Amino acid sequence: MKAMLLVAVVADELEEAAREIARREGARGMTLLSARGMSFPEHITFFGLTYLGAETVLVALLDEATAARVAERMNVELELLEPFKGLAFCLPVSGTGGIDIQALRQHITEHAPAERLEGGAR
Amino acid sequence: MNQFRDFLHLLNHAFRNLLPIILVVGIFQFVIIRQVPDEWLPMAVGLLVVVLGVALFLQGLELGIFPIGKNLSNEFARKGSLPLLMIFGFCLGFAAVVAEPALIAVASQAEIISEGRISALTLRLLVAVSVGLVVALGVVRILLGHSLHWYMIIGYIVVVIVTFFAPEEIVGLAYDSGGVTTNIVTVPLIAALGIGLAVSVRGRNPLIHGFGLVGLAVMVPMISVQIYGIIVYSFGEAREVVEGIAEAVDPEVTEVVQEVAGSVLLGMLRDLMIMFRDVLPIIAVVLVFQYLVIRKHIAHLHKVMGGFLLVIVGLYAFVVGLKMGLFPIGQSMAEQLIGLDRWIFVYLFAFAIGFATTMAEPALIAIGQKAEEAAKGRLNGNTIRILVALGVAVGITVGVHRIIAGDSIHYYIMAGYAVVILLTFLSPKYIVALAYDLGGVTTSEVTVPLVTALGIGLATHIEGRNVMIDGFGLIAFASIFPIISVMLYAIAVELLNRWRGTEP
Repeated sequence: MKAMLLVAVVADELEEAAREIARREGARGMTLLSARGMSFPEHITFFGLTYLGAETVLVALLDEATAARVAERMNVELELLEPFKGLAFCLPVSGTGGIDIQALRQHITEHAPAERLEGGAR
Repeated sequence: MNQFRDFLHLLNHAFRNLLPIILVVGIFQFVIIRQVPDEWLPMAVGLLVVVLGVALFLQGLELGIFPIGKNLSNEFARKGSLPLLMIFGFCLGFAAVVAEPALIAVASQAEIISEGRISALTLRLLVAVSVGLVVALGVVRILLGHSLHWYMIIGYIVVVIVTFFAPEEIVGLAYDSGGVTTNIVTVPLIAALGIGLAVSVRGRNPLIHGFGLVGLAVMVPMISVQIYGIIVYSFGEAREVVEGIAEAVDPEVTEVVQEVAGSVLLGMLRDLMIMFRDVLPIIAVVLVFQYLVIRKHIAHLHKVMGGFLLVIVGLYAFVVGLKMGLFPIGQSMAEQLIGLDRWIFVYLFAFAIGFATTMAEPALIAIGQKAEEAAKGRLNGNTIRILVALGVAVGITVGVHRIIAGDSIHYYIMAGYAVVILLTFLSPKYIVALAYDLGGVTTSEVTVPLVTALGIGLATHIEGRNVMIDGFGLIAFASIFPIISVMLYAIAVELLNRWRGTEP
């Protein structure tokens, strides 16, 4: 069982919806960082200044399947790939420092099976 | 569950914020007056209600007002339309001021003092328009990235010059009207707008550029009201104003909750509705711009609504608690101290009450936190609060001295602002905007009634003082001195760092 780091960068107003997806998929918790983002070419606002959007970065350590699932659901359901929305992706984690990913996986399958089935239908 | 634990934490926090008040009251009662106050139980209950109110209010700010201010400014920045943003700034400033109850009170007093030369309605509209205009100007300043100090230096030089020519009766009121424009709900909203705007644009710093809107909103009414005063005193005719005099002169704190149709509950409900009515214009402006201009749903809508509700309920609990707990004790203590006929105690009392109430000021707690976040470790929220509280304490003491000595308010205010202008030149630029904003924060629901009661009380008890003229102006002192104390602190820190830097 491999561990994956879910990284979701979402516009501020989507933060709650993104959190809800992760919760429903069985994540046990996540780290939220307030951040600012910009696009290329820069979105120019007043007086030729560069606009920085308010966004939230959600980070969570999950098993491989769940992380990929959460990232996909976020990208699709929140339409993250539209401009000014954000992006969700996964990173492989080489060392988990003693965290039992197997147990994590088990917890997820135990705690959110119904929700996962429902999500799978979509 | 988590929310609940957070709330308990907040309650604990709010209680610690109120400790200074309790200490001050206790020390004065037992050491100087040496008697247990009658009806100490309602006072204790009142203070507890205040604690609850502060906790609810802060929670509401965090849930509702700060996010919506931040979101709105972010959306405006994305839209990139300067005219729309300026119109929004104007509407927000106008709406924040026009329904402000404290301003309505000051305006009707102005009508009485000026013997009808000043019309209360014109005064209110004038203040609201000038605040609106200056908020619109202020947002442009944030975008242009100008440091606030030139705006403030020029502004206050104009204030001082205008004061020189303004009729004496109007000076205290004009300064007070500057102080009362920004209340406990509008300050966080306007501050959040500024900070959000500074965060949404590259190259703008929330601490240096984001703050300052409140400071501008406090300054401009002083100019416009005094100019209005000069004009009407030069050209206007005096006429009789009878109605409302008794109401304005009477400093007695009214019943905590007035009964409606024999029910206290209905009375409370009515008071809550009044409080809601006072913030309605602002909510309307926010909603209109959110749905008609930005055309997006409010993010986290139920949270924001809950937040606004908490703010209003918290504020109500806070005010009721103050009326039950703090005002009676303040009044009885002031009377007893004046009865002692030792002025030193009055000074001490003024200092202590100024310090204690400012420490409890919820908007100050919130702004202190925001400043701490924006400064990224350079400032500490509690240090700021203590500095501001010291400033208010000194300011009120000086103001009380002016009433006792019977000097003209002109010279005190002009000297005060001269010092402010000088310090603005000397102090490090990062503190200027924050310092002026803090000057506006101090004068809200807690300080204003208490300080006005103190001023009116003193003016009535001392012979030869005119309640109408001498009773006012204390609020202005409470707003000048925090600016001075915060800037002095920043200069001291800077000097200390430089001195340390030169040592190997």
